[in-house]
Amino acid sequence: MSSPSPSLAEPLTDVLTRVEIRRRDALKLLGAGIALAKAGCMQAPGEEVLPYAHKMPELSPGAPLWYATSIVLDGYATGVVVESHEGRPTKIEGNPAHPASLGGTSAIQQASILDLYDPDRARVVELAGMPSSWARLAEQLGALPPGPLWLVLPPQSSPLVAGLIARIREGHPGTRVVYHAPLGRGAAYRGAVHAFGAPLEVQLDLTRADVVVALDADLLGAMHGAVRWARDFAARRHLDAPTDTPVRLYAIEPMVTPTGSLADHRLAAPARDVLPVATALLSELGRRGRPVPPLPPVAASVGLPPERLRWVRAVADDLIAHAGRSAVVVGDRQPAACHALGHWINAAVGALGATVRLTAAALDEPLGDATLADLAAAARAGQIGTAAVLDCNPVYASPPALAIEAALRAVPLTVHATPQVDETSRACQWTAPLAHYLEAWGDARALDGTVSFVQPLIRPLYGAPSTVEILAALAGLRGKTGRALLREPWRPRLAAAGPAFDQAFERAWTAALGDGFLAGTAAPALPATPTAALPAALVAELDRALAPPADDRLELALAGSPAVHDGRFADNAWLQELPQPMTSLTWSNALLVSPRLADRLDLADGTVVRIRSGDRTLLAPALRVPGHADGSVTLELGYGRRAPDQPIADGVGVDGFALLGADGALIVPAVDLAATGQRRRLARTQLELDDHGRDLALAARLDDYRRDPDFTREHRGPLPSLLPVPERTGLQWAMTIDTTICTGCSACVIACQAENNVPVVGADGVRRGRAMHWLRIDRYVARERVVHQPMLCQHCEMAPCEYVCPVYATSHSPDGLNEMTYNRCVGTRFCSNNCPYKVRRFNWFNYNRPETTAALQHNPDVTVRDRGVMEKCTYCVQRIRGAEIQARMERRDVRPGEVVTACQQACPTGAIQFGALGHADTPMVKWRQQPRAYAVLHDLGTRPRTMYLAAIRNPNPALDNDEDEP
Amino acid sequence: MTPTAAADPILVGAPTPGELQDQLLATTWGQGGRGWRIAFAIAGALTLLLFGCIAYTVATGIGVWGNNVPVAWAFGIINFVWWIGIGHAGTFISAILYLLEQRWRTSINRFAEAMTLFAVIQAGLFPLLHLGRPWFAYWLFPYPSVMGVWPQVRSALPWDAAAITTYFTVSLLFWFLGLVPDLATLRDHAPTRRRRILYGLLALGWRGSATAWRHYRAAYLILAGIATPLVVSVHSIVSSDFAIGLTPGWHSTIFPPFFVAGAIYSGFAMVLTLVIPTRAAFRLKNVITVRHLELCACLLLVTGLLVAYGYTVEYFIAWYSGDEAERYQFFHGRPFGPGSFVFWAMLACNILTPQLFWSRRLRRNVRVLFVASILINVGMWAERFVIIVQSLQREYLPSGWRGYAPTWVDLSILAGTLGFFSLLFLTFLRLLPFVAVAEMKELRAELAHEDAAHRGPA
Repeated sequence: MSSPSPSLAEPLTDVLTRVEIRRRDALKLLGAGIALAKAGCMQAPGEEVLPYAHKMPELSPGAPLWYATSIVLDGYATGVVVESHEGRPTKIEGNPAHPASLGGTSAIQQASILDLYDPDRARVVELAGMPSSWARLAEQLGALPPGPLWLVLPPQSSPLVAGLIARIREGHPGTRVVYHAPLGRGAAYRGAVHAFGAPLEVQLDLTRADVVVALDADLLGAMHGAVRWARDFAARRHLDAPTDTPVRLYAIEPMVTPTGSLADHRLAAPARDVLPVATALLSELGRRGRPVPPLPPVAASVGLPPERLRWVRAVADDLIAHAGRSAVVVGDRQPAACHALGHWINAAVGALGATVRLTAAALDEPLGDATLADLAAAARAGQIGTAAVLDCNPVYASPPALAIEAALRAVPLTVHATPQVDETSRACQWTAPLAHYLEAWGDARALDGTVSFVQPLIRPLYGAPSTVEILAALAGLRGKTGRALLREPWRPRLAAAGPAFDQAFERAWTAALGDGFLAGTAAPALPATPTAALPAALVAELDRALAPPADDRLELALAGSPAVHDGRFADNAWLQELPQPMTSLTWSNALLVSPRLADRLDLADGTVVRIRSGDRTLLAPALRVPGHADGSVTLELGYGRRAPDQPIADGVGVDGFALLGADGALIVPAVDLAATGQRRRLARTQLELDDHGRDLALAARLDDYRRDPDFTREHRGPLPSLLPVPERTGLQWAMTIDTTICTGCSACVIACQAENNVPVVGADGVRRGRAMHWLRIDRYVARERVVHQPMLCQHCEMAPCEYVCPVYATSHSPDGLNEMTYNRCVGTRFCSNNCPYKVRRFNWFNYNRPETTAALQHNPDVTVRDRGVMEKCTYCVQRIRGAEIQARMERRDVRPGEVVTACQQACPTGAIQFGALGHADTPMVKWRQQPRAYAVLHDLGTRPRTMYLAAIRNPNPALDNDEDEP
Repeated sequence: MTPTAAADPILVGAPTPGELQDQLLATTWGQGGRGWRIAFAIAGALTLLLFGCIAYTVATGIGVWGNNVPVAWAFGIINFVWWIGIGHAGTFISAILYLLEQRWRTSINRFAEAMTLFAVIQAGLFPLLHLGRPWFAYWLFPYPSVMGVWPQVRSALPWDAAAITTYFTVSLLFWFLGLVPDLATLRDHAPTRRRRILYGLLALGWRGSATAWRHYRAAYLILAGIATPLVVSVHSIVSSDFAIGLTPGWHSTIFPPFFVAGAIYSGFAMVLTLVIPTRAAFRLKNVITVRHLELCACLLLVTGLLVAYGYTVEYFIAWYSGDEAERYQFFHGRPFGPGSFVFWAMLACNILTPQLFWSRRLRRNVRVLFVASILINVGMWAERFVIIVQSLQREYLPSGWRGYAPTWVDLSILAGTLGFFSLLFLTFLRLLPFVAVAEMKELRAELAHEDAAHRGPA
């Protein structure tokens, strides 16, 4: 050979090309190659690399870091803490110190991490469909054509954005802003204007409430304050002993929501009937001597059916009996008049200043500036020069009568910044990708006004600008990064002027980002009282609204989806696959109808129905929901997207916005239904809601519980057995779940999916019964009463799955976990057959191929499972072992409450408690010792480590005589 | 020999040994008729379909089947149990009837034993194929692995692995042993040199000496003795795949005897299904007589009644236990839940059909026997569907209740195994003497001897 003999580091191919090969040499090289392969040598790369020697002090590869930031939805911020592995955010948890979270999160908040890694994210700035660049767009934004500038963006509470908009208004006179929120709270603020003369914000303090009345208000599930309110409510709902008296909840609503499912007395009524009920409630309070304003004559003519009147009277009595410790909450869908009456009701029962406080609105310009209708009219009249649509989708999420798409096309310059290319992109010249909140700097206010910071955990994956940076470009501040833009206005606010100003600011800035929010910035309570008399505008509204309806046709109650909200999360596969709280429906919405209506119209589940409202029609599959009001049908918004660039969202479900009237009101008063002959197969995870007398989800009334506290006796305690009871030493892990405070919100389901790399199977997979969720919420309905029962691996001490596995792939650990050894599983699925709880999941296909950017979300501490392997809840064993390792390094024992499972951490109410049986002072252990604790399928002898607390209801004796079943 | 037996013989006529041999070996020497070729082509096509679907399943995942949670076992295990059950009749005929000295077994025992072997091959595909990771199937066998882990023997699945392997091995040995003298005969009368070498290799040098026959007898008896308990044990173990579980509808102590009875039941039905056309096509009605068919029918009646007893006991115990899940399973889920048409088909096919055989005329009617045997096998397949799929559809937690529907892959694999079985069987019919020549000659001699003795000195 003419060159030196090949070193082990040189790739064999290089050698072969360099050298003139003769037969003997070839054989030598071949032999060397085989020797190399045998020695297990890796091909060293051709260039030199150096190991990571000078690392940052806080960064240890393999150990995650946590950063505080905030999630903002429809303008309200919730503080979260995000886990980051090697610079890659993987998991979202609530910020335990933030007032809007207190550690809990909603399903949407948990799922938002997946949107960061969505493979369908917009990546490229485009002008008229051709690739361009952010630099060119910024240039264009700095040099707008003549004509007014209109901004369309979601409601904002950000001081930074408010400052930028003010600057834009200065630089561009005639600027109008449309705060676009299809599920917005305009009616609530207008109601406050009726009552107080100003758009005040309602702050609930449910820790002081004995009676709560929800008027079409899903305050525990979908409302903007739900995460915090659910925690406070649960604190008053959970019983430690039979002598405790839980808060009593009344609800009136058409469709069963998490709030309604927990209500002690739920009135199923169409949404348009809530205002008459509120009016009647106010007048009943007046009749009982409470201070109420004089009501117009139309209020007296409100004739409620006797059953409703009885309900209203009982509620009035109860509110008065607990004056100062009661609260009435009105849902955002209700008209302003109802919100206004709610304020007078709260004033009448002494709630104001106690359980209900009023503060300045968290949102900037809560009553809005311009509306979408104004935008459409101005665009058609040629009175808009530039329209910048940022982080919202008005072409999709608006009444069809406004014809937003045509309106935008008429505008000379349109810019659309969006996370994914959507319906609005089609109508706009410029389409720019938008940074995800985990990639962006910013600030916002929580519902109570607390200033919350948004800090990025990762550089924008596609170099996308954030909303703040785009607004800055419009304000003439091009070239400044989001961080610089945020720091500037906060300098004077965080530090006092003086010699050590810079150091003081840096310290304060670091502390603020570390906490994620500024403590003490909650808006102060205002000593507001409603006016003594109803304002004329309100009286006019009441006259119109309370007049008897022209016909008593069905009402269509449109609602935000607990999964995709107003459609902005439609491309999030986790949320699409999340079984909805009452219907367990996935990958679609449906027309939700009462069983009686379904029988009357002969609708089977999935029958396609034509809904007609005026000249607007829509075809939707029907689904019967026990407990839905007759006289009303519900359809969730956010589906029926026409977005070919979002394959997960495209064509899934039906578009409820098509039925929205020009006023954008979610309550559509009169619709006609006609069944077509077609049937669509709905993908639902739970098909049977009846427990067939098997006593699986126990519930009791408070008085029965007090009379017989041990009523769950048959479902707990030792069982006779021929088999020896295994003795185990050391920490023994277990879980207790209180079904009294489980609202069915399903945040735990998404949290588990995020933590444990649980794959998505798609609509067809769910239809076939192959949903992969390790944790599911079982619902059992008895006489329209619902109990939500989170069902996960029970980690049975005598696990039936363990003895049937032929290869020891599932075994029992010394600390009580039922272990799953993925590498050993051959996939016989006998364990699934033998699990009576049916909590085991099988990988029917390789759900992780083809690999997309979504794989970046995977938790590196948890195996990604192969095809053909069983999987199930592990009690978050990675967190248990992580805590044990940490404890061992610090030479101490694992502390009580140190290990928190993903589901426990996400739960807004704290219904799920995990811990060690030896830690007697933890809620997990104390709850199991309550007399109402029980095990599911106890008599099978599986000895599950997960125990449940029976759901205790607190019915009002005055209303209770026909409901002997809780 | 009684006059009645003479009127209903198991060997018609009094052929000479030469005639008998020629008739029985003619099946091997003859060309395949058109019917055989068509049947072979169809079987071949189905076999290709089977292997295509197997490759598809292994490459893509069990998701191409209709299984789900809770119905994690469906067609794969139904087919497995069905085929294994069918095999039991062969061993029953070869071994148990041999030990009980039932001479009517002689003409059908090799045929039936081959049926067993081919049925076990079909069955054996499924414990491998239904695995999520079939390339690790060998972990169910006890071998000294570097992982230091042995199979978990409290589970019935390693028992299955052992049982099926044992069953196949013993059946193969038994069948082959019986073939050896006939292979030697084929070697000695082979028309071509190639065939002579082929049969000669297989005949293992058999020369037919008295010593050889003595060893042969002893070996045959021993293997029959080993095979006999397999008839009971193999399907008992297969039934324990279900009986050790706690699923309502599975957790039943009657399963082992109930399954064994059902296995012999379906096996004899399959024997009839195969033997009726074969004896007609190959003109062997004198060797496989109506008496044989009648005796099979009698056994069908007996085992059918045992199966009916099994159903009755299950229902009684489900009711008597008072367990809500069991009662729901038997009184609501199976008769009125999803798939209930299969349940009613099962009852009709399994309980009603064998009642025909109370009538002597009907159990000697070849057409009736053929149709009934097919219905019985359909009924037995339906029984496994009811036990496996319907039980899993309605378990303890109603939140997990869900139906099941097979996919085209499931149906293709089932049809494919029927095709593969037929392929093997048709090949066997052509290549090897499917009636045991040597044993038939022995039987002929015994019958002639008895005949002469009966007639007495002339």
